[in-house]
Amino acid sequence: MALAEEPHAHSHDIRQEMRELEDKGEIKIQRVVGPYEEVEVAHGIKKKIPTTHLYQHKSCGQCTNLPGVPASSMYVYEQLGIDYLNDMEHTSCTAWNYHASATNNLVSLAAAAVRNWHRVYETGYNLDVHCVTSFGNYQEMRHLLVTKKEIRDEVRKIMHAIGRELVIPEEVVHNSEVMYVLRDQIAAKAKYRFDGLRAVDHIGCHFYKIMNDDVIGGAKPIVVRELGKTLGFDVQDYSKWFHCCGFGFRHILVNREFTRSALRVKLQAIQREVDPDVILVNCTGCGTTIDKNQWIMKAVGENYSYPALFHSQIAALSLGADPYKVAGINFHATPVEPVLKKVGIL
Amino acid sequence: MAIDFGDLKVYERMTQDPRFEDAYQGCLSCGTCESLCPAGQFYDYNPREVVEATGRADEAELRNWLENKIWYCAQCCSCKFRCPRGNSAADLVMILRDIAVEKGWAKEALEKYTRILKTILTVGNQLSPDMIAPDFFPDWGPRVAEMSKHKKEWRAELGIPGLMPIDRSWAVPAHVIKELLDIWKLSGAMDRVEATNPFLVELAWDNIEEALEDEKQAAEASHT
Ligand code: SF4
Ligand code: SF4
Repeated sequence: MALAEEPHAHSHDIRQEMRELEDKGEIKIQRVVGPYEEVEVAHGIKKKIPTTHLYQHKSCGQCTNLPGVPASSMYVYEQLGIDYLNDMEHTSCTAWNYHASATNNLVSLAAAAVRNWHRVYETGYNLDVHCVTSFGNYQEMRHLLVTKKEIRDEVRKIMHAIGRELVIPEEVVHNSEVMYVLRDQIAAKAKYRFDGLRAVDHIGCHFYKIMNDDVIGGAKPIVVRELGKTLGFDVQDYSKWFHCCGFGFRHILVNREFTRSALRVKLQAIQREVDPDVILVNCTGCGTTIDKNQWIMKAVGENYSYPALFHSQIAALSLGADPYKVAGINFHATPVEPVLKKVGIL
Repeated sequence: MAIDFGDLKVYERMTQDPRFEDAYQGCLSCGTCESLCPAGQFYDYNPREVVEATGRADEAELRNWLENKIWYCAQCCSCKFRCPRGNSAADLVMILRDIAVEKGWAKEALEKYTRILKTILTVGNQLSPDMIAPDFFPDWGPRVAEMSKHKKEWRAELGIPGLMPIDRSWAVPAHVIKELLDIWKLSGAMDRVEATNPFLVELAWDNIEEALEDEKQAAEASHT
């Protein structure tokens, strides 16, 4: 563990390097707008997490499979009086396709990222990314654009051709990081608490394993578990917390037996060591994999029914959101109802 | 199907990728990546081997990976996160996948990806609710079948603007999709689609022409 926690050759203070590139006129930085909270990440660096003017950068996987997740995010902001924008003029980040098939090349991936960032910049809102795949990709694309001149030059050319500029956000922020800094505000207004429910968390690999220097909590991310604890969950440790859920980008579609096998390793450890009421998640791919693949485990004589609940869903439900019309629990394959009955939400 | 590599030097081509200098920094052969790799648990696959083969510039072994093994990786990046040298088997695999697709050697691996590509190139999203059909996901159980049946009304109940369509994840407008297509064209990504799914390229441009026309007409109608 000690070695893994040391900075990699590719971890660095990207913000300083961005400022230097901006001084040379190579890029434009979109600075955080309005109030923010500073939270420490690697090397003592402070990451600014904006708490208003939040551009809802939606996730195609969430909007398709579990649309109650983005709906919950927007509900939480409404309840707390926080300004947000649900804009349609961003595309998918296309990183799922890239990691699955490589049919889009690296430059197209970086250019798709910058196009979306530039759109966020022209609205004057702060980037609030719903998806962990997009979040990890945007962190990696920011790293490559800042450190590799050839990618920067190619992307700048493409941006000019489509009438945009090479803008990079000062902070790439995930929705679960925003909910983490808002956790006390959410708890103060909560209509329901989850006291008495046991939980484990599973953090999306691309939240912290692609770029390891911009993560709240360091080598073991804390955003979801701390939000969960603040709302009353008894969040427990388990040995396979680091283990990939099995999503695998291509595997969930074309090598499904791998997805099920890898998830089974995780579920077995969770059942043996904790047997919780819920699994708390922040990642589109993991949430989908964990939610959708428990039923089929009956085929190997194993019974699991651990609802996968996202950070935004627990926040919204605690604030009194309708479980169906906001949190969208009807879209879940693993039933959420029994758990909500336990705490009086249903 | 064996690949005809011609005169391609795989190692040399890998070193030209901008990610290479981060991804390979000398291997200790410690086995950390091997011990935590989920793909290695279920396939004849070991991330240490691709890193070591890179270190040796082992052309035969790199070709072997390029032919098949690269498609087993789950891209979880656990290897990258825990490697004491900061190597990334995940990125070496992506560099090799890039080569395979660029050269048109990935037809088999991409066989079931046509629908995803079509979705990106026609609606600007990678997924859409109408793709979650029970006959494609029977292993997801009865609640998903129910959801599929009620997808329109349940989405309407959520009442989130832009989340009603079922042919895309959210209502990405045509002029935005056009920008994404231009990006794919200018970056050379469209050439890769041409190499694997030529009919999709034509379909994408035809579709966007029509969608832009519809958008223009709708804008004019709303003005009058
Ligand atoms: S963890 Fe790193 S150093 Fe160890 S075997 Fe894997 S690539 Fe080599
Ligand atoms: S990214 Fe690929 S090689 Fe690395 S640990 Fe995950 S599955 Fe294994």
